[in-house]
Amino acid sequence: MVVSAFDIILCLTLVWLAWHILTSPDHFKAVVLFISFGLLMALAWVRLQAPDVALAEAAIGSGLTGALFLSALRRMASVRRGERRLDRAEERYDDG
Amino acid sequence: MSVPPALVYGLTGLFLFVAGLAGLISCAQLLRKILAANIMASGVFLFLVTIGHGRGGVIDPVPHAMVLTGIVVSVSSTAVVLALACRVQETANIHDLLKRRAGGDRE
Amino acid sequence: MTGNESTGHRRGMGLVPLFNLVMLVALFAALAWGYLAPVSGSSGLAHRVDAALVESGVESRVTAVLLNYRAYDTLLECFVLFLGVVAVWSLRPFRYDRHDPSPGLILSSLVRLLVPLMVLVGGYLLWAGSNQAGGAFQAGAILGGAGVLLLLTSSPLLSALPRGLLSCGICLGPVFFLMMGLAAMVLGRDFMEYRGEAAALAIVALEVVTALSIGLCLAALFGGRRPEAGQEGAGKAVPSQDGGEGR
Repeated sequence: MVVSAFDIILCLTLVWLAWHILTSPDHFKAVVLFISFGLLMALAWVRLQAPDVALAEAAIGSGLTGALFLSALRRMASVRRGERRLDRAEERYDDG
Repeated sequence: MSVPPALVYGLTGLFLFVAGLAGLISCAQLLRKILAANIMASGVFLFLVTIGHGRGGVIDPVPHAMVLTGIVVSVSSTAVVLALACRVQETANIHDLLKRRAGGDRE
Repeated sequence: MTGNESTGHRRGMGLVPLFNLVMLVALFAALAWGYLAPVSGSSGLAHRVDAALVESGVESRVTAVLLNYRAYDTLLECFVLFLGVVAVWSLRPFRYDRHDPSPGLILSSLVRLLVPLMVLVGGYLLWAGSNQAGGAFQAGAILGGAGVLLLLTSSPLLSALPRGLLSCGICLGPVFFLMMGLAAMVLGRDFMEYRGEAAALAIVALEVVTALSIGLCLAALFGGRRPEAGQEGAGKAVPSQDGGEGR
């Protein structure tokens, strides 16, 4: 099997995505790019004749990890946003 | 070109590992560090699978199984680290708020 | 240290980034050199895997490696998932009120249609895993995804689950793995040594349990906190979505 243009483009896209995940100023954008990074990784596994890993990567590496990151992002933002909620959390913090 | 595709993916994996390491070192925010660690893990997985390729044209299933295990382990460690990061963020916010309150009272 | 997130993500100008860059390039070069160097005398493990495949009880090579030859890996992975859930549960978040909009009619009916389909797909993957791509991990991932969907829509299905079931399910994977390994010892083999006729049965059982346990653990990891007993009554139906999605 010889390397095709598809392989090279896929690898370059992966590298480009990794770069933008690490440098984009917006967290939400970085997380969304990370999800697409996982999907392209699944494509790379298929090219490497590893369908088992491709299935797992698509479901876990991109789907579940993305969901985890999005929910953490939301939790961090929602704690930061409202003073009212912070008050409540502060009371709890004082209590124990 | 008689380059096997595994070679290209292996080098990409190495590059992703190094790029993730750079992000882990140079990014200040915790969320970005966790993303960088995940990119590093992806690079390692790519590299590991391509090692089992090519020699004699037989595909080695052992790295595939190890990568499968690794994906599950990496998602669970990501979940734990994200929970820790959220906790750190919340605590930092509350400290900020308390400090701000204390400063506001004095004025 | 992490509070100020809106400022730039790169800090430190001057010599330090340059030094980092040089070191990283050197690291990449060293790794690539090691990768491209010709290796003599290693033929991989593929031949040995193929040679023992008849005895392993499955036809798929990856499944054979995962659940038979290197069952230790999968056992330890079950332990990692278990410990991950315990760690996430013990990091209880501060409670902040969520004003989630309740899931709309379309979303909840979509989930109601999707979840049985996902369970079906998970079952198919589990069954397919014995001779083609698929297996316990993928099935577990699909089941975990179904669990995440249920958590996201605060499905009433979750509140019908008894509380003890979740805790038992989290422990199920490691405990069952150890039990199967010990059963092999009782039958006169080594720990976790499955061979021949009995291997097929053992691996099917391991596969089903691993898939269930992985799915449950992944959903619990996403859930983020242990569902609380609303009242003191034992076995009381607990709204698992109590903490909801964004915990």
